[in-house]
Amino acid sequence: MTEPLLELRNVGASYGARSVLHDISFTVGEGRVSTLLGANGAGKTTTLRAICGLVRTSGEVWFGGKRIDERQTEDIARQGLAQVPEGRGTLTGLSVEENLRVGAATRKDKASVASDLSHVYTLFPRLDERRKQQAGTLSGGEQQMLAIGRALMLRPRLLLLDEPSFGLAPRIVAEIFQLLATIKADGVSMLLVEQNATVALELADDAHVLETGRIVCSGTSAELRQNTAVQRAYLGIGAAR
Amino acid sequence: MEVFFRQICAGLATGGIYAIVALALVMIYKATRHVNFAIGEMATLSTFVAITMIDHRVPYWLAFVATLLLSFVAGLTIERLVIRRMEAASHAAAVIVIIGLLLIFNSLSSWIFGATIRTFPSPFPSRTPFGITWLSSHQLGALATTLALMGAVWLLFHRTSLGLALRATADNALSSRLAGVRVGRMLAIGWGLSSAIGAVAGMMIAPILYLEPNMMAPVLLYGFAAALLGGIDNPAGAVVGGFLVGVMEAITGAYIVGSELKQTVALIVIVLVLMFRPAGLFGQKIVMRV
Repeated sequence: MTEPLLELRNVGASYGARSVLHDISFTVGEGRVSTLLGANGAGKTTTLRAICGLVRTSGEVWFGGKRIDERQTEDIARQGLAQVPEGRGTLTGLSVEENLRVGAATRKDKASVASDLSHVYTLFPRLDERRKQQAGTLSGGEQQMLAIGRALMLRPRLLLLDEPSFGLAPRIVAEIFQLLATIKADGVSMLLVEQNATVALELADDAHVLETGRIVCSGTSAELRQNTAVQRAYLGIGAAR
Repeated sequence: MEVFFRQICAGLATGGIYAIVALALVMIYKATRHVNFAIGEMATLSTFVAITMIDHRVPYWLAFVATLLLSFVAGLTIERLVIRRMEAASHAAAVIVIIGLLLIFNSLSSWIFGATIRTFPSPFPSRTPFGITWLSSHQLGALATTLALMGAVWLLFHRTSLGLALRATADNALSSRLAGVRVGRMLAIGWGLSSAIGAVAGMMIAPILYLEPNMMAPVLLYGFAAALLGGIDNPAGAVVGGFLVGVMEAITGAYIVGSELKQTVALIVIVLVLMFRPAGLFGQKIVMRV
């Protein structure tokens, strides 16, 4: 079996004395999309923060054959790991185009940055129309697109997404997940954190269910969709009447 | 009318220097939310370094550039050694540390260079060009230097990738880090740039005020008033604020309060802005949609 792109080995995380993650282990394969499902406060965001070195962790995180826990967030990003953070992380005072250029801050080759920029504008025509606009004035859906576009500008080997559906109308959520499917088809690996399990399982190949900081269930998306406990808790199917 | 016009011009010339100080303050404020009150004393020390070089027959502009470089390194070092450690500290603690820096740099200037008042040369020719009579040669040169500096800073921030990384860091440090921007390095460079910009203010005001360890105290006051007036998070606003405060100072000094009370003008501006328009004239107009 080939080495996974991302591997978490017994990762724990805590904020001060409060420990939030316990003994998390899972992998994301090259070219695959994995999703972390779970209720509010289950530790999904913390898992992403732990991968990017934004919270003190125990255990090991391996990315592309290198150990990345204990490394600086900036260096982890430079390895090719881009996170679309919770709340979208818009650089509100900068223009749309400047936001995207910040995403390419680690890259020196101007020609390939320019071609990626036009690729992002093709994916997100709405951003193209608003190149010079101050990013803080964009709608929530546009800011989410901008965050994804900014992450793509890093040419990531793995894209981490923290609740891309958060606070958006169903129509916009559908639009964004359609775009993520396009990006997946381009061969970008992803780890997706999502409360909206229905759309997440549709996009993902593999899924893990997180409850109070522990992984309680893992499998392919198809398997988890058939799992009655998952159906009841996250898909709203067969709920007790 | 002639006198009035002269006052306006003189106000613009000194206002430019306040604008430089304001710009130095805004740069650090935007990135770290600290007001670097020590910037004036850092600039004084830089100016003393410049005069020492000039005394040793270093040509003026060479000394000018060398002083900028040294000030840049000094600012960078202060951020790395002192300010970085204050990241997790309370805001009050950071203010105390910055006031501590102010006192340290003030004492350093007195200790190394003595408290005697000295003249500082102007690099500009003694005669004004084009037969201009409403500004002295130095005022005109300082104004040109101010505008050139503003232009250079604007180009740096808007036309280079370093500038973009600096602005990104100031706007959203977390997102910048996630994009691979070396935020810690950017903060240090920001302090270095601010310190170098402050040094320009010191070297441009010194021929007007005479050089002594407390030279920058009133300039800092005006620069702070300018930054607040323009909006302490808005570089362009700070520059406009600098010119406005300079003109206000000249006009009120000549016609209303007299030179003894001129400094009060800066304080009145500070108090009025904080009371009636805390964001300043052009402060944080960023619209947020959620």
